[in-house]
Amino acid sequence: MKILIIDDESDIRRIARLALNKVGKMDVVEASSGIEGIEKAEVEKPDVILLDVMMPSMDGPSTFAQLQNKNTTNQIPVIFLTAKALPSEINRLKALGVKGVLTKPFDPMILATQVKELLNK
Amino acid sequence: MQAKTNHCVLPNEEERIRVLYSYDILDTLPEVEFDNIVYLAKQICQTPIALISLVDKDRQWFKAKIGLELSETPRRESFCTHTILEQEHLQVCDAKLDSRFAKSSLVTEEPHIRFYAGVPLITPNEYCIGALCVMGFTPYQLKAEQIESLRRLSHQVITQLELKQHIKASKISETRTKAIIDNMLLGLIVTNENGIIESVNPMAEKVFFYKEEELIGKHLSLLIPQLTDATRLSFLQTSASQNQKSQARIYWQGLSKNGDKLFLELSVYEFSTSKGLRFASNIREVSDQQKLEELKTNFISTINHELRTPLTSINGALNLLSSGVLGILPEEAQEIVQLAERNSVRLVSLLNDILDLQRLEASRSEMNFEVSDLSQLVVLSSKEILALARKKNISVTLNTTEIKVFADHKHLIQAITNLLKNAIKFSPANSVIKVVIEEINQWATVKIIDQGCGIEANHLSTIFDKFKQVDFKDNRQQGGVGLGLAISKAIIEQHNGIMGVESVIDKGSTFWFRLPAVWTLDDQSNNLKNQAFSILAKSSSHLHKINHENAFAKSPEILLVDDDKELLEILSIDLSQRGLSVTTSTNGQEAVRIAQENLPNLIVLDINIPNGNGFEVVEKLRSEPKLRNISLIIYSGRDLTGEQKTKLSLGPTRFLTKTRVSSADFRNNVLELLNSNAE
Repeated sequence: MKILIIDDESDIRRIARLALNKVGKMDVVEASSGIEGIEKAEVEKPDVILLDVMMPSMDGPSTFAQLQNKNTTNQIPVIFLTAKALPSEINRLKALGVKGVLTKPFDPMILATQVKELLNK
Repeated sequence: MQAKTNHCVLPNEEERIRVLYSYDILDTLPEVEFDNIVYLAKQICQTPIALISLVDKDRQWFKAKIGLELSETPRRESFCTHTILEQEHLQVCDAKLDSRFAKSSLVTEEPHIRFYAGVPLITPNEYCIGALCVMGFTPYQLKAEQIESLRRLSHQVITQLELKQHIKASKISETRTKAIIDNMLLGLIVTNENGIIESVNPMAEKVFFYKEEELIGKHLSLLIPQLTDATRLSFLQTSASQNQKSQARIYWQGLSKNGDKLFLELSVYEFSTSKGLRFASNIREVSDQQKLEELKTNFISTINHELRTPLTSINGALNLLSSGVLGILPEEAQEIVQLAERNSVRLVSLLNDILDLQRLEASRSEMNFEVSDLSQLVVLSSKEILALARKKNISVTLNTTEIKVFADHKHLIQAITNLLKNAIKFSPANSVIKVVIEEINQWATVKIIDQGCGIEANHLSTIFDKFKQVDFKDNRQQGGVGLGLAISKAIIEQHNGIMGVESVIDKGSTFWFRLPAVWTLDDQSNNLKNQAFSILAKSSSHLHKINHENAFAKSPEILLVDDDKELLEILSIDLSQRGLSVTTSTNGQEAVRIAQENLPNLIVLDINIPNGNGFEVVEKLRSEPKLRNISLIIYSGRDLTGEQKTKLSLGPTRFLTKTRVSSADFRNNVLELLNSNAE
């Protein structure tokens, strides 16, 4: 399974890569911004995208909207990864039509399982 | 009038003078009411002189007079002092024949007084402050009815004095009240029962930018547009009654004259007047406070995000290191990593607490209230702290009565759990924490009584403050009391309840809260309660009696069997943290022995284990009636055939494959089996 991580924080990308690759045995592709993420999504054709919510210039929801607008990427399931903790904020994100929302801090030992569970929903 | 006698000392002189002065009448200008009285006295008695004489410390002063020029004379020669002494009327028909007055200069010289008659002025509290008297220049005698008329006129003098005193007092009080209202920091608007404004104070003018005259006679809805005609009266009445009940403030959006929207805190109270019911609304503009509150919310939200992001990296890195995915660490390094991991978990929970508290304080928490059985919520809360209690061998007992409350389950359980955690934290090992639920005056009351070191009296009032860690007597650092109590208190307050604490040093503390009790005959929640107790009852093989003192702190027992010691450790820790009592075994023979001794509620069994594999273990367990119905999870790396599964079944049995289930899935399966077990 190939997963694209879009997050502006390189440390978070690194941890998520280890969690998904070492523990979850997934192929991991990274992007550090929404724009780079959309390009990578078109080229790499990942099975799922893990998308950060708060990013400079283009945030998670805008990136998701652009992905939805492209024929090449609108079939790829997206999961938000957010540091927002209020239930209302999380519900607002879910309502955008993503596969699911995972919150930070995440447990790297179960991150891959959580991603798979959301995909199977 | 004067007479040359010794200065008489009157009874209760000091008090008498104080009473006289309280009328504030000495040395005031003539007043028509008193002048009329002396005129009538003169006419009735047919004498040339009539006076109202008030007897001061060393003078008599005339409030009203006819036929005499003097306005006061020294007291030592006063006729009236004798009238006061007599307490009744005094009549001197011929002063020249009366030894008390015959040599008085008033008699021997100008104005040559020969006749005197006076009645005392007696106040309601029985002090004589002076006399109403008539005098003449020839011997004379009043008839009985004339003296009676004088006596009645003297009552009129006192009535006038009393009346003037009351008017003065009420004027002072009115001035004082007006000064207070005019200088209040709160806006005050008084309306009639139709919501028509009758008066406003300067602060209300300032808040709404209206002048008083622009508001009087207008509807209150001019200032608070949400109030329609239909709702106005009920709004006022509801607000007033709510205010009386709970001191609660009500928030409304107001509108100023220049169109600005105002955020108002309103407290309404009702009072009756001769014109009917009136409502006084205290109004405080909290728009600035509201803006500050929003700033605070945004600030906390930002800080939350900014802290959570680096914590994600730290936490994740530590998890990966300690899990061994990146290579096995030396033992000491492993310990240090775990230390760091524990502390980063603590930081995350602190962050969550801050968010929780902020939401509660801003009343932004999503609450789902429903009629609930309080003891059931206490039982659920206690499950959360079982592992913690067990660590210190603390037992928790429950003494309950059936009471229903209106509660948001999630939050109330959080509040009770915090209190229990706090009690455990400050209790000595091997002690008992008592939880008592009782109904007191229609309040459902929960008391959590510990045998800890107690709290100094001067700390009791601040213990619910944020980040308050009380200095306990033994000076031991208990680590992060932090926000738990503040959160509990905020939750209880959101439930319209009250929380408090009582404590005795070296004996322990009682944290209590009370919620309004709800009275319904709700069989369904009764069933829920029974169910909760039945889970507890069945989950503990040690529990014999579930009646009054419910020893519910005994948790469901699980036997984990696997030859992988590390896996056993990870699973034990995880399940213990969920309040389960865990025993482990690494071989088949030992597992069967433990099962026979402990009668666990659930066994988790690997297949490839030494001294008798999984199949043999199940066979042994099946052969014993008391063991054959125990719930079982087969947790192995193998894929099993249908036939194998049949051989491995005991009571309710589930099959989980190690590489396919997450730790959360595993845990959920355990909990589900335990719950279905208890039903």
